[in-house]
Amino acid sequence: MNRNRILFWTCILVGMICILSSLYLQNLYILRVAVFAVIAAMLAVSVNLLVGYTGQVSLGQAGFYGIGAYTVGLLTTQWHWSFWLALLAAFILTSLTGLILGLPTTQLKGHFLGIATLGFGIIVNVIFNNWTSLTGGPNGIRGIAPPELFGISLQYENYFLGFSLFCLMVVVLMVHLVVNSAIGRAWKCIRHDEISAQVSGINVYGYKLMAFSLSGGIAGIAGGLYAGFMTFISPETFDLNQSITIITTAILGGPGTLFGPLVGAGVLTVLSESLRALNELRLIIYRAILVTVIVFLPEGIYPFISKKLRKRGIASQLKLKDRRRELDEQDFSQS
Amino acid sequence: MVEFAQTLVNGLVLGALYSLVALGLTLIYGVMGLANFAQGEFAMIGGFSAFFLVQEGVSYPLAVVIGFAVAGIIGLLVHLLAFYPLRQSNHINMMLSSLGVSLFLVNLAQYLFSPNPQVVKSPLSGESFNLGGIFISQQRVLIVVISFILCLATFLLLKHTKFGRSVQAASLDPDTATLYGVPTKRISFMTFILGVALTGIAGALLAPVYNVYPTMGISLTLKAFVVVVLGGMGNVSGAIAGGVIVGLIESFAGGYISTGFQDAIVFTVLFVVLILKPQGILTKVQGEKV
Amino acid sequence: MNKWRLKTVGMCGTAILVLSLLNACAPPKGADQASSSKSSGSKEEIKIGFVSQLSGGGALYGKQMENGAKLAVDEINKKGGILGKKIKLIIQDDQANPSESVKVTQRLVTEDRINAWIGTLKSSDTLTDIGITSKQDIPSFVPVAVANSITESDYTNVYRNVANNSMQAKMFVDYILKKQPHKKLAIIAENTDYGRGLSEDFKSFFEKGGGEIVNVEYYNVGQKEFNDQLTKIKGEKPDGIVISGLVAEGALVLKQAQDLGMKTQWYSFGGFSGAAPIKLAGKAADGMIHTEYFTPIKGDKKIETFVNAYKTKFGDKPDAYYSAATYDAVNLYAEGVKKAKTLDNKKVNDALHSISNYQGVMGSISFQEDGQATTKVWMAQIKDGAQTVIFRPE
Repeated sequence: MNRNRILFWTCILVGMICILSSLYLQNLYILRVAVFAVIAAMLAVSVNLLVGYTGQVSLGQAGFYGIGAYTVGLLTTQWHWSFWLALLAAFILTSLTGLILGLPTTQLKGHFLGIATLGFGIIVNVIFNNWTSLTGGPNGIRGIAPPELFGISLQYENYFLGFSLFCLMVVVLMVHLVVNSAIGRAWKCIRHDEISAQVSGINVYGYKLMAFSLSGGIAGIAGGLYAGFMTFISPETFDLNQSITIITTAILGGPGTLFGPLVGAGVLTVLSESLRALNELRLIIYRAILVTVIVFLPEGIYPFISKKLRKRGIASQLKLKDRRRELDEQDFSQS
Repeated sequence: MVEFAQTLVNGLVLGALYSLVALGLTLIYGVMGLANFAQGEFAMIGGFSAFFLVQEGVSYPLAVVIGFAVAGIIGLLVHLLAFYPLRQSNHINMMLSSLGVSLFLVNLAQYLFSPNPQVVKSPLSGESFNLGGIFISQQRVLIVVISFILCLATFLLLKHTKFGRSVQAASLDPDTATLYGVPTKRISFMTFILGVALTGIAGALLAPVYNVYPTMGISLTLKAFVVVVLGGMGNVSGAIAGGVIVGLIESFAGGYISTGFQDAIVFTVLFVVLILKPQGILTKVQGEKV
Repeated sequence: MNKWRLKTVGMCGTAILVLSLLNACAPPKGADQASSSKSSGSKEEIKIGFVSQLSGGGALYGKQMENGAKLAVDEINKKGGILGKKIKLIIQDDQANPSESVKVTQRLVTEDRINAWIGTLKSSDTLTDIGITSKQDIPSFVPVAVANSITESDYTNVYRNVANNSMQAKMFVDYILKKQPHKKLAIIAENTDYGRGLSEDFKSFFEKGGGEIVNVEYYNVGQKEFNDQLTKIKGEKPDGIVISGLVAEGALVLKQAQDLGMKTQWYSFGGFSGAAPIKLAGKAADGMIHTEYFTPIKGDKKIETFVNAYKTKFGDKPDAYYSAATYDAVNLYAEGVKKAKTLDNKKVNDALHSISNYQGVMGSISFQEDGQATTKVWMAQIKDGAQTVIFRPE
C-alpha cells in the first residue's frame, strides 16, 4: 500500500514538473503541437472511461467535444461570459448531454451502441453546420477571447500549455480517484459481465449513465480548451473523423489503463508530426502503422511496454499495480 | 402531386441502392460479428476497377463482373492482414481495425489514382424514363433490378445450399457449429470475400451515377450501417426493408422538411428505432445468452 | 496532527516554489503581434511555404494549387532564381482541418523559417493561418480562398490575387440582369463558408437589382445524391439555377438534373468552371454560363505559354483557376522581392503593395491597400463541349 502511495506522489510530482517546464518552452511550433496533444489526450481519457473502464463503445465523442467548444465559444462571444464560467458551463452542459444520451442508449450493446453514438455525433455536427443563426454555420465562431488567469493572459502558447497540462492532470487525477472507488469497481464488473453485475445487485443502468455523463463532461472541457486556444471554432473540427481519432488514440494507448490514453496521444502526435517530411506518402504510412499496431498489439501500447519493463525487472515499483491488474485479468478469464 | 410521386420514386430507388451496399455488410456482420467500416471502400475499389476497364475498352457489363472479382481479391488480402489475426480479440479492436483499413484504402487510392473524380460511361448513362412527368434514369433502374436480383440470390444461397446453411450455423453459434463439423474459419473467409465482392458490384454500378473518386465510400458505409441496423444486423431481407425505409425517409425529409438536416433526421429515426426495437425492425427479440 | 502540519508546510513550500518559477518564465519570442519583422531564413535559398488540402475530399483542388506553385518555382529557378537565390517550395497538407492547418503553418514559420506563405483552399483556415504569419509580417498570398473577410482583417502582409466573393457575385449579377432574360433564379449551394458566402452575396445583390431568388438549397461536401434538392427546385419552376459550389458535387448536380428531365439555364461561379464540368458532366454541362478567373484560351501569349508548360510538366491541362492563381502568387512574390532587392519582410511587403498592373496569367494585377487585387472576372459559356468567353472586361 505504501508503495502505491509513493508511486502516486511520484506521478503527481512528475506532472507538476511537466507543467512547470512547459512554461519555459520557447518553440512556438512545438508548443502548438503540444497543446493539441494535451487536448487529444484529454479526449482519449474521456473515451477511455467508456471503452476502457465500462466496456461501452462511443463513436460520437466529437459531439461532446463540439458541444463543449461551442458552449464556450457562444457564451464568451455572444453573452460575454468569462472564460472560466463558460468552461464550467461547458462541463455541466456536456455532462448533461452525456446523461441524456445515455438514458436511451445504455440499453444498447456492442455495435448498436457504436452506431447510436455515431449517429449522435453526426446529428450534433449537422446542427453545428445548419443552425446558422446560433452557431454561425460553416463559418464557425471567430474571435473567442483567450482566457486570463490571475492577470496573466493565456494567449501565449507556453502559458496555455501549462494551463492545459494542469487541467489534464486534474482530470487524470479525478479519473484515478473515481476508478479506484466503488464506482470504478462497479464499472469493472459491468465491463466483465453485465448480467452477472446485474445479478450481484449493481445498478448497471445508473453506473453506465454515470460513465456517460463523466465522459461527456471531460470531452466538454477539452472542447472548451480547444475553443480558448484556437479562438476560432468551426463544425469540421468536430466530425466523425475526430470521433474515430479519439477512440483510436485511447485503444492504441491501452484501454482501461490510467496512462494508456496519454501514451496513445503522445505516440500518435509524435508519429504524425515526424512523418510530415514524407508528404504524399505520409497518411498512407501513418494509417498502415495504425492498423499494424491494432493487429499486433491489440491490448494497447502502454500495457505492452509496462509488461516488457516488468519482464526485465526494471520497474519493480510498477509491480504491485500490475499484480493487481493481473488478478483482475485472472478474474476476467475465470468468469 | 408530381413532386410527391417523384420524391417517392427517388426514395425507393435510393433505397434499393442502399440495400445493395448494405447486403454485403449485413452478411459479414452476421458471420464474423464484424462491423466493417471499410465496406464502402470496396465500392470504391469496384468503381475504380470498372473505370479503368471501361477506359481500356472493356464493355461495361463485363467491367461490373470484374469489379466483383477485384473487390473479392482485395477483400481476401484485407481479411488476411487486418481481420484474421484479430479473430480472438474483441469486437472493438476488429471495428477499429476496419476503420484503419478504410482510411488506409482511401489514402492509397488517392496516391495511386489521384483525387480527381472520374467518369465511368455506361451504355445507359444520360438516358431517363419519363412516366408522366416522373423521371427515373435508366442506370438507376438497372441498379434497382440488379439489387433485387442479388438480394434474392443471396437469400436463396443462404436458404438452399450447403454453404448457406453453414453460414447460418456459423452466425447462430460458431462454437456449436464447429463441433458439428462446420469449417467456421473457412466460412468466415468466404463470407467476407462474398460480402465485399457484392459491395464491389455495387460500386461498379453506382459509378456512372455518382462518378468515382477515393473518398466516395465513406458516406456509403454510414448509410449502409443505418440500413443494416434498421433491418437487423445479419438479416438479408432486413437489408432490403431497411434500405427502402432509409431511402424514403431521406427523400421525404429532404423534400418536405429540410435538405440541410436530412442526415440528422435519418439518424434520429435510427435512434428511435434502436430504443424501441434494439434488434432491428425485422428481427425477433432474443434473450441474451449468459 | 503533526502529519497535517507537515503536509501544510510542504504544500506552502511547493506553492511558493511554483510561484517563483512561474514568475521567471516569459512568453515565447514571436508570439506577439509587434515583434520584429526580421528577415528570416537562410541566406542560400528563399523558402516559400505552401499549405493546402492534399488529402481527402478537397485534394483535387489542392493538388492543382500545388502543381501551379511547383511550375512557377521551377521556372524561376531555371532562370537562376531571384537575387541569385533559388526558391525552395515547402509543401504541407492541412487536410482542410483547422488545427492541422495551424500546426503546419506554425511549423513552416518556426521550423522552416519561410520567407513567404501561400495557402489555403478554405477561407476559414486561411483566416486562422494568416493570424500566425502576420505576427512575423511574412508576406502571405491567398490565391484561392475567396471569403470577403480575409482581406478585411487589417493585416498588412496578406495579398489575394483573385476576386473575392462579393466582387464576383456583383459582377455576375450585373451581367445576368443586363444580358440575360432570367429574373427568377434558384440557388443550390455547398454548405461551407465558400458556398454560403457566395450564395448570400449573390442573393442580396440579385434581389437588390430587381430579380427574385425562389429557393436556396444547401448540400454537404461529398454528397452524391441531389435528387431531393433538385426535385424541390424543379417544383418552383425557376428560369435558371445557380450552382454555388465546387467541381465534384457540381458535376453530379448537372448530371442528376439531366436525369430528372430538367431543362434550364445553369449558372455557376469560379469554383465550378473551366474544363472539369465538361469532363465530368459531359452533355449535361452544355449551355452553362459561369464566371471565370482564368480561361485557357488561345491567342493570349502569356496564357498559352503557361498552359503548355503545365501540360508538359503534369500531363494535364490546367482545369480551373486553382493552378493559375497559385502560379501567379509565386510570381508575384518573386516580383516583390525583385523590386525590394532584399528578403526583409517589411521591405518586400512595401514593394508588393506598390505593384501595379503586373501581368499574370489571370490578367493585370495591382494590390489595394488591404491586399485585395483589383482583378476582373470573366464570363464564359460552355458550348458544344468547349468553353467560350462571352464577356471579357477591359
